[in-house]
Formats: sequence, structure tokens, C-alpha cells
Amino acid sequence: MNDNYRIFGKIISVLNKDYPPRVSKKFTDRVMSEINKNKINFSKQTSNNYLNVAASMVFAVITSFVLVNYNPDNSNLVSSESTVPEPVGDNLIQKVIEKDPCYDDNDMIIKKDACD
Amino acid sequence: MNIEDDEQIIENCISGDTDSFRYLVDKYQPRIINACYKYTKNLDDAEDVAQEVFLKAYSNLDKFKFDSKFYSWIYRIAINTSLNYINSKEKRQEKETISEESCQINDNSASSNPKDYYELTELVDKVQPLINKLPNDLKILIELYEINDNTYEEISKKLSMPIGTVRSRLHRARNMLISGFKSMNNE
Repeated sequence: MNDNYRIFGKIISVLNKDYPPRVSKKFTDRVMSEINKNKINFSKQTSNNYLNVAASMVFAVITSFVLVNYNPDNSNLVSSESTVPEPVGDNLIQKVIEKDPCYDDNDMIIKKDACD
Repeated sequence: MNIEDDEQIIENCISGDTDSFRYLVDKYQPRIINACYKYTKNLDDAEDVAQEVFLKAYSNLDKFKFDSKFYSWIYRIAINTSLNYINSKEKRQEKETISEESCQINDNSASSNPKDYYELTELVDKVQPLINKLPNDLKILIELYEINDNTYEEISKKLSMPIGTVRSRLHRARNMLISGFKSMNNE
């Protein structure tokens, strides 16, 4: 094991007057065993990130495809007449449809003397 | 064996060489433990908090931005972790109503076998002569990089020196310090 880092660590801590009274000799081993125990792996984290990006892209493509090909005219809507009879003869509200005698149903002007 | 730059070690760790992180722990453990010790006032607790600091640093190593120095980054983690430790300790104390004596500085907490510890105070008189032995240009570089926390780019601008030259001279200075230390301590 390369001991130079430990020696240089001591030197720079003394140079900076930034050192505790003592340091456990097993400190590094404890830290490294915790790291190995937790098995923190950056390559795994990176591959998980790629997987997330790929999944997002597949989802986006499928969504776009569905939206582009969606045609509301093709929807099979079935018209049905309401079987519930409209209230007729209500004393308070009555529908009054006045037909203009100058117009027929197709909005065509009918020439009559009364319309001039 | 030469020592590599922190940036190179970090890149090795991110590429999957977990054991490289050991070098960063070896290099910065005294300063990080001391940073935690200022808050915990207890060496055992300081080592526990420092251990957590290095674990946090390792698990977030891929978020480290190479525009700052590794020590500045891990020092901030150390401060935040120590503050969290103090807050949780205060909460514990509120619950347990610990006596005031237990809050005082306790240097004797690590009173077990002295062989298990590095004594750093005794190195003070040994390190300064090593620095004084360095050629003047290397001494200035060590002071700028390791004490004043300047980056390679900042030193390059200050001394009007190419970054490559700064790196290679710092490398030489470190090796001289390490070999001088080894010969002095017969390591």
C-alpha cells in the first residue's frame, strides 16, 4: 500500500497548523471497509441513469406516435335520440317558434307581396 | 511510488477503482478530523463524524466539480456534517439531560493503546526544517498550493508560469518532502 499519501497528509496538516492531537491508525481501513460494505458503485449509478433516460425517451416516442395518429373523426360515436319526452304544456314556460313568412326553412327569400 | 493529483485519484474512483479513495482519506484525514474536532470537542466523536464525511464525499464524488480543490469541497461537507452532529447531540441531551461535565473537551476519550494512534504534535518541529530545505521556487509553490489553497491556474497566473510547469514542480516538491520525512523517521 502506498504510504506516501499518509506521510504527505501529515506534512500538510502540520504546515497548515491544522491537525488533531492524534489520529487512529485504523481510520482509513474503517472508512474503506464502510465504502466496500455499502458497495457504492459509480458505473452502476451511471448505467441506471442511462436506463432512466432510455425509458423516458421510449415513453415520449410512444406518446407522440399515439397523439399524431389520433383522429377524432374516426371515433365511433353513436347518436341516439332521447326517449325522455320534453315537458309540453308547462304553464310557466312555453316554446314559441315564430316562423318568418318571408323565409322558408332553407333561408331562401320568398318573394311575396307582403314581404316587400 | 509517486503521489498523484487529487483530480486523477477522483477520476480513478469514478471509473471504478474504489481503492484509490484510500489515498484521499490518508492525505486529508488529519485536517478533516481536526475540522470535526473543533465542533465535537471529543476525538472519538470527531473520528466518527469524519468517517461519515468521507463516506458522504465518496458517494457524491461524481458530483464534484473540478473547478475547485477537493479539500475545499470536503471541508464544506465536514462543517455541515459536524453541525448536524451538534444539532442531533443537543436534541439527545435535551432528552437525556446529560450533565455539564460530559460537554467539556475530552482529550482522554481515546485513551487506549498509544500504538493505535499517530501523534501529530511531535511532528511540528520536524516538518519545518523539511520545508526550509526545499529550493526557494519549490517552497513558494508548496506555500501557494498547500497552505494558501490556490489552484494550479491561480498559481500559473501569479507566477506567470505554464500550468504544466506548476504541476511538475509541485510534484517534485512533494516527493522531496516525503523522501526527507522518510529518511528523518527511518520509514
